[in-house]
This record gives sequence, C-alpha cells and structure tokens, in this order.
Amino acid sequence: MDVDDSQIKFTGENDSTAVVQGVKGTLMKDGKVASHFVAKDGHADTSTGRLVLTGSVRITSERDGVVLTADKVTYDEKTALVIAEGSVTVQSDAWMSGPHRSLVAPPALDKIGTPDRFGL
Amino acid sequence: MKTKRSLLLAVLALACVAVAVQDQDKGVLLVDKNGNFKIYDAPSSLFDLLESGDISFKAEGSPMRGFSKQQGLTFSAKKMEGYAKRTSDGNLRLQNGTATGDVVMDVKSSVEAAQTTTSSHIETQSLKMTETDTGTTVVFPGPFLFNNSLTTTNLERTIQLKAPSGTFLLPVLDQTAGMKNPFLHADVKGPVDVLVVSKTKTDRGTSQWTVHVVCDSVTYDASDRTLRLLGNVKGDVTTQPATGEPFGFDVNVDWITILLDDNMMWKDVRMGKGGVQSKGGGQ
Repeated sequence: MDVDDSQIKFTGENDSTAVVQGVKGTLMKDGKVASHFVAKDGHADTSTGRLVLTGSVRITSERDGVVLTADKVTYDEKTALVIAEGSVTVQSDAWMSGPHRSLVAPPALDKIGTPDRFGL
Repeated sequence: MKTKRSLLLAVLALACVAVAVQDQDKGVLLVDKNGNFKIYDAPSSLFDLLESGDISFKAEGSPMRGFSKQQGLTFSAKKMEGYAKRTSDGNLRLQNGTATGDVVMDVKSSVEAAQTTTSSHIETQSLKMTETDTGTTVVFPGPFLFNNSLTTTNLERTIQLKAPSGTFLLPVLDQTAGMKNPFLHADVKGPVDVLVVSKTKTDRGTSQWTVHVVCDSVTYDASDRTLRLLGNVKGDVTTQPATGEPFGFDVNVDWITILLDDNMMWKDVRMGKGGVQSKGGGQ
C-alpha cells in the first residue's frame, strides 16, 4: 500500500505502526494501482500488514471508477481483501448497492460480496 | 408519569434502531440508476463487476427478490445466480439466471392502446432462464406450475400447465406486448396436467371453451401453431356457446393435436385411438 499527502505519526516500541490523519493513498495489486482511497483517519501496522481507515472512507477503483464508501475499512495485505463496515455503499455510474452492514472486496473492487462469500 | 413517558420514548427509540439495523442487514444488493433492475432482500451476496460493465451475481435470501421492469419480470427464490447485462440505455437486464428453492417468477406485459395484457406466473423449485436475441429459454428440471393469461377487449384466456419437467422457448420478454401466443416452443414431460380456459365476448354474449386433460407429454411449436398432447390423454373438453346449451365430451385417447388460430383458440382438433364420449347438452 502507498500512503501520501498525510500527517504520519509513528507509535509503538518498534515503530511498526503509523497513525495518519487526513489520509489519502493507493492500494496495489500485482504491482499495479488497483484503487485509491481517502479517509479522515488511518492506522497502518506494518507488523500485521493491516491498514485501518476510519471516518468517511472512500475507495475508488482504478479500472471502473467504482466507489465504495463506509464508516470503517480494513485492508489486510495478507489476504489482499478490503473489509468495509458501517453504512457500506458501492456505486458506479450505472448502479448502486447498499447500504450494507459489511462488505468485502479485493482492492480492485471488481468482486464485491458479503463476508460469508469470502469465508469471513 | 414522567418516568412512564421516558420509558415509552426509550422503547420507541430502540424499536427504530432495531428496524434500521434490520433494513441495513437486508440491504439493497443492486439497483441500476434508472431503478429498472433491482435485486434485494439478499443478506448473502456476491457480484463480479466485469470489464464490459456487465455483472455476474450470486444472491441468497429468505427469499431474495428482484425485478427487471424493462423485461416485465419479477422473481423471488432462496438462491439465484445470474448475469445482468448493461444495455446501451444504461439499464441492467437479466440475461440468464438459475434460481433454486421456492422459485416464483412473474412476467407481465401490456399494450395500452390495444388494451392487451399478458402475464405468466411460474412456481417451481428450480429454474434456468437464458435470453438471446430471438427468445428466452426457460428450463424446468423439476416439477413446475406455469400459468399464462391473456386479456384483451374481447378475450380472456388462461393456460395452466403442471408437469414434472419441461422446456419452453418464450419470445424475448419485452417483445411479448400484444402477443397472444405465449410460447414459441414448448416441450413438457409428463404426466402433464393442462387446463385451458378461453372466454370470448361477442355481440351475442360470452362463449367459453375449456379443456382439461392429463397426458404423458405436451409439445407446441408456434411455426405450425399445433399443440400436441401425447400418450394416455384423458380429460374433458367443454364448450359453452354465447347462446344455447353447453356441449362437451370426455376423452381417453392416444393423442390429440389441436391446431390453434391467432387467438390461440382451437381451429381443428384431431385425436388418436381411444374413446370419446359426448357429454351431451343441457349440463
């Protein structure tokens, strides 16, 4: 994951975590940009490979311009899945989905489903 | 008094929260911008967003529901997998679908100017539909009920088919408006229960034609407008003319072929070996 244009504060004993406010960045897949995100706050933990975004989270897919919005989004680098929670909606120029309590998707947002569909 | 009011308000607030949570759980799986296509009541769902703009989906509910206004289609089932195609006018259109578990599907079309309404109601446990440029194939691998009705200014006709399995080729769903013929082709395996009731209004009154038979299989092809009832055909045919006495007959024959006219009324009936017994008049 890449994070830019943000105020980053490192915390923790090994400086493995970063708390970010006014976060904006990109999610990658196979070395290519899969989507872009913005959120009020972000918390990245390199030891777990998790990025937690909270507050008006908005992820836009690079390929289709599909937009996912949620109260909270967790991106897990190990599973390469985005887990969106709280008033989740997904929207394209042709359709919309939601609100859902929780949705899961890969970073490209080309497959979107309820957590049970991803074994969660 | 004040405590009671506070308690009531708290209960109301909790109820509102509960309703909101319930609504969110059910969610809207998918709705297109024009509100033409919608899948909802599907707490478990997955959709693949294809590069073409089409969507492949899987949805489950108790039951999940959906509609496609452009196709005059509404449906519900416990499970459905399907493919929604994005059309040039920005709508989504159900191009194929496999539904299982308490499947109910309705297709309705009407032409206001011609005062013609056609509708089909389907109930089954399993159904597969595929739409092409020339028609819509509906396959029932298991038992089904297919009920079709046509209403015009002077005609009311219902066709009800109950059978263990069958395949139908219907016209393209949004091109059925005004069509009196609900099927392009039908191949139904029995025992098939066929009920046709046709009422025609004339200056002299209303006449009614009723056929109720059970047979081993039914085929129909729109190219020759011939309905073929095959094997152990048992039942009865009754005609109630606009004026005069009703007449009819019981049949127990090898086969019946019925040549239909534009209104799907019988023009010619032929029967194979067996017994035909007149019911006579005055029934």
